[in-house]
Amino acid sequence: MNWYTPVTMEELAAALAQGGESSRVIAGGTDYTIHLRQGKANPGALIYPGRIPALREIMLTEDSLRIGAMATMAELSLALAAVPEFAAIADAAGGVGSPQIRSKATLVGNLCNASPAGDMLPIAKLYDMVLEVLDGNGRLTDVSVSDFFLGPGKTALQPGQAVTAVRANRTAVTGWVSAFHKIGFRSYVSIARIGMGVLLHIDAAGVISDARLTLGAVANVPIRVYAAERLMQGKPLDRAMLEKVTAVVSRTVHDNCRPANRLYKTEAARGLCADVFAQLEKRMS
Amino acid sequence: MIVSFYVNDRLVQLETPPERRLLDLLREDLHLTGVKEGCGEGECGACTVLLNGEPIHACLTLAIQLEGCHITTIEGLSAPGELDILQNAFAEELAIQCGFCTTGMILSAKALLLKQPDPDETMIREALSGNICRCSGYVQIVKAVKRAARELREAAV
Amino acid sequence: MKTVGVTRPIHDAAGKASGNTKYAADVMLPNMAHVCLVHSAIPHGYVRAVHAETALAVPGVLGVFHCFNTTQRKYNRYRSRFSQELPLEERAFADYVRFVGDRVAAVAAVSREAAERAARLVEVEYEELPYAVGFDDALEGKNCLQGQSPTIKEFAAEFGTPPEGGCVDVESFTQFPPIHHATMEPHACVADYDPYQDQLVIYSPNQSVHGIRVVLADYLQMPYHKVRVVKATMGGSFGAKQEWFTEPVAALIAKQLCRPVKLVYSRAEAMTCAVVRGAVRASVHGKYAPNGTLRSLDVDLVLDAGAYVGNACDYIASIYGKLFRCYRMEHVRYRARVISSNTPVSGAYRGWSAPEAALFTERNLDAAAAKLGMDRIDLRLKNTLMPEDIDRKSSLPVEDIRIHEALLRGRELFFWDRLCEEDAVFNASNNRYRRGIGVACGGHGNTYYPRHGDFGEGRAFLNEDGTVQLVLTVHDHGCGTVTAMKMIAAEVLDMPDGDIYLGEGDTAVTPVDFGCFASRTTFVLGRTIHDSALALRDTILDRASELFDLPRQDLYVENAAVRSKSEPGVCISYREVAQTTMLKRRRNITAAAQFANVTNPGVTGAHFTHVEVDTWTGFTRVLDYLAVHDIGQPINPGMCIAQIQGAAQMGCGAALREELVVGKDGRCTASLSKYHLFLAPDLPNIRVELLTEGRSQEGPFGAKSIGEVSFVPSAPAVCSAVNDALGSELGVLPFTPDRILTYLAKEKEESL
Repeated sequence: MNWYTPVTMEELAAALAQGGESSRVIAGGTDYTIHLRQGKANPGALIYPGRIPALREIMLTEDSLRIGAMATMAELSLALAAVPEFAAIADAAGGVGSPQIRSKATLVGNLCNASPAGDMLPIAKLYDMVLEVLDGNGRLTDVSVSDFFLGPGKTALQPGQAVTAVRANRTAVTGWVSAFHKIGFRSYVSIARIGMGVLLHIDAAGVISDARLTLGAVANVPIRVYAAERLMQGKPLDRAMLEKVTAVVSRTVHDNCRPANRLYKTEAARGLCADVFAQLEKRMS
Repeated sequence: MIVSFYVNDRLVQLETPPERRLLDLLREDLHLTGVKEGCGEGECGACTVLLNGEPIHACLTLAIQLEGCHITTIEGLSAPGELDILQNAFAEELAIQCGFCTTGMILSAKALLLKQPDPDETMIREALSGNICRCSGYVQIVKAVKRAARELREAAV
Repeated sequence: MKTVGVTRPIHDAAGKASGNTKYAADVMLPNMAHVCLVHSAIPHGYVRAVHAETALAVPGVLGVFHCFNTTQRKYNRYRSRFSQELPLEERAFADYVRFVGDRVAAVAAVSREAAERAARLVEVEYEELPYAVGFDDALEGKNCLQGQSPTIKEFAAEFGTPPEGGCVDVESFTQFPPIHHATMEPHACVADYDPYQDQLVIYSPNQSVHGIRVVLADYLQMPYHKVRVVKATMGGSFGAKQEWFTEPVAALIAKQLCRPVKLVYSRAEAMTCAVVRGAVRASVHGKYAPNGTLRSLDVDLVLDAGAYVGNACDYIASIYGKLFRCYRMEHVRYRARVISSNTPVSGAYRGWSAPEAALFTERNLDAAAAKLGMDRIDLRLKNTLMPEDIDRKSSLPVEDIRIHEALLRGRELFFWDRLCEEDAVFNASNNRYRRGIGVACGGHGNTYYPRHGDFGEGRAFLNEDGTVQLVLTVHDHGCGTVTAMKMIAAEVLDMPDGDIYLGEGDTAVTPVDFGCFASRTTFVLGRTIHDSALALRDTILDRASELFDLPRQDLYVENAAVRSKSEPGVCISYREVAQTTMLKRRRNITAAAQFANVTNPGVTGAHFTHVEVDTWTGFTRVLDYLAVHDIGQPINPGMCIAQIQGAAQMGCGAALREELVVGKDGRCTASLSKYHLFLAPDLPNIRVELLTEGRSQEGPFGAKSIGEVSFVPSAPAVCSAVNDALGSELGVLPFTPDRILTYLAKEKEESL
């Protein structure tokens, strides 16, 4: 097997060009290693960009957040926990797998695997993230998250391309609060059965002026629940509103998930909503 | 490929396929068998080692990812025939039964104590959430980590 | 007592903490081959051809073994003693495959990686047959084993006479799925064969070195002395390592290749191809007097043996016996069937039939308490065995049993009555979370006596420096057996346990023994080593008396020396006695003892749990857990407590999460990512209370067993708490979030 361990973006581009159709870029490798071991993957070349310093960066400026492809879940949860508008990212990153997984797994790796249960998929959707895609010619192209996920394990990424970073527009969400929560099979170290991210802007009068809500692990790709968002606009964050949002979320889950899980996920959505909004309230006070 | 990295502060250079697992490099090439394979899929934590001080699964780490890294295995905690404070606390607090989870458990605890010298019980339990023990119910393990934290703080004074 | 009753770490704690201790998978021998198995991809059928050419072409491959190039002889995986009459049902490599995961072939290669790669290249042609994957399939009459009816065995028994009228009828249904032992160490085995001496050596973590010897020697047609089995450090067993499937394969290949081979199971193999606790369902009809006395228990039970019958026929009979280990039974009618299906093989699991008995009995008791409006502890107090009762099945006295006391003590320590009130208040004021408390009792044995005769043999040697070596066939599962045995001998000899050596089972060195299971280790083998040490002590005193011309009746031992009651100045160290005996008498000081027990006292425990169920997500959190155990004299109390806490964890898993699911395609859960074991943050500080007054007559210093009985009440106690929280009568385990929300949704529908 060929292998490349580029230390600059130029070398990464060259590796992408040389690696060929069946080359595979790995970041943390926490999922891909299992596939390799089970003989389910047989790449012609492995490319590991972990030695490119720029890819490890998490850059938070006034108007944007940029997360390098090699920034780990542990680093993300530490860096963003105290930033209200991005705390949902910290919630999600801090809940991925175990401490061992979080010290290697990356947000970008999670997006590129595109598992419907991936915790970062509803997060990317929540922030309308933009993925920076590098090709073998060294060209960087922006791909919107809404164009990126095509289905389980399927993305818009072509052979010979790699995601080097994702960006979120901070200006659009400055002053907002956010939270993410998931329900798995146990409270810790579990694949998500439903994940939910919420971003809220609340004005001085305590009224929700804008809202975003996304769900993961329900359909093949993360979904944004516009109906719930519309419902929240112009309302205070109170029990009556929460009940209505919960009903919409439950219905969305019901309509999108597989029959085998329908009863459970539809019911459990209620608990999930309650937990996410409890977290938001805590963050607002 | 030839990969150079540090194992317990000693530089090693190994010729290996890039997709070979760190677990196999440690166990088979370097004969460091203190690292165990309990599941090979990052679920049980028996293969936990430290990479630059952070706990990772040796079973989910490939040779290609290792260049220049510092790996700490259980063998790196103490000199042959000795135990460090944490290892000793595990032994004396009855935190060890079958022992198969022990080395990974100790390294997860070590990673915690490197960052947090005075962890409370919740922090300890969360730090060990990636390490499964089937023998104990975790009570003595938590006790051992508390004891080690205390002894390490006392030793630092 | 100086040593017994004082807590010690396990003997190899330092080695395990340092990573220095070697497990079977860590063993490397010169010229060693690595074996990787090929498993059946279909649930049922015949192997028509095995194409090994591509696999053989992989560099480093030494051979591909399958049903067409290996012996057609068969063995029984459950056999552990020469006298068992069991059908021979398993080949090393099946020509007739019975489940997904059955062994079809094996590749041996010079490296593990080559063996794994080649194993993926072995092509197998099958002729597929219809198959059954569970109770319903099998009971509908799908015949899964060729030439057999779906019901492999029926067992019926009745004790006492049915009560006449005046009883309250209580029906309950309980079902539990196959579960995985989840030993952190997957199965592993090293086999070596010397063709010039026709000597086979097996090195594996197992519960019976002589059991393996019997099976391998007969299977490979070798005399017993040519098969040496050595017990390796064991990374947990819980019953998973007392039936034989890695050893026969490794032995066969080692013999064929005339070189050492190593076979290490993956987690997927340990989950699907090794052994599981078989699924059981039970319909129970209890009859109770209005005051709560259990008058009759009528049980109709089905056990799914999986693809090989193994221990299942003995197992259903054993469940009947376990019904008499905790409560006074006036009348029991018991009918049980073993069915087979094309699913992973059922076998031994911690508690060996007692957890099943407890699960359905305790569920019925809870249902009775609800029906009679009684407190669940009060109802149990009406029915427990009491000291001087007899086990009505075996007719042996239960001796000084303390289950009644355990319930009372637990009620007090757990603040049971206060929690009842607090939970009621909590539940009344909370529309999301519901709290409940649970209780369950369980009983077990200390030996398989009188079902089989039990005995042990031990030897003791005094070294020249006054230290002692013991010989006994023990298998430490990781719970401190070696330490406990040394402590018993140290107590008898009044010397430091650190000055005593004891190795583990090795058929070349240690006497024939049937294995460390059935909770017999401390009770039977502990007493055996006690008696061996006693014999050594007597010999030491005899020699001291002769050599130093002291009246024998005045002599006693103290601090590893011989002292005299009449002459306080006399102090002859063990070392001096040993050396003088060697020099002057030209003799070693050695002793041996055999012990055959004639009792099997009651050993019981009561567990108490407090849970909180999230009715919106279906998650159950265990808030508090207390285990009270009637243990007699604990040899090493700290390790007993640690073991009980582990059992509690296992019970929480069995009650709430653990389930091996076999899909319609016959494929079974094969990853820990889908088998959700309890983690450190999921559990409270499990509390343990030991009741030590109920001493056994025959156990060493009055000790009783703990390893298995500690698991018996755990899952039922958790189930009891969940049902209390929800006001439900759930009986199908595990109580997963899905099952809980399904139940609540149905309740809601019905109440509308």
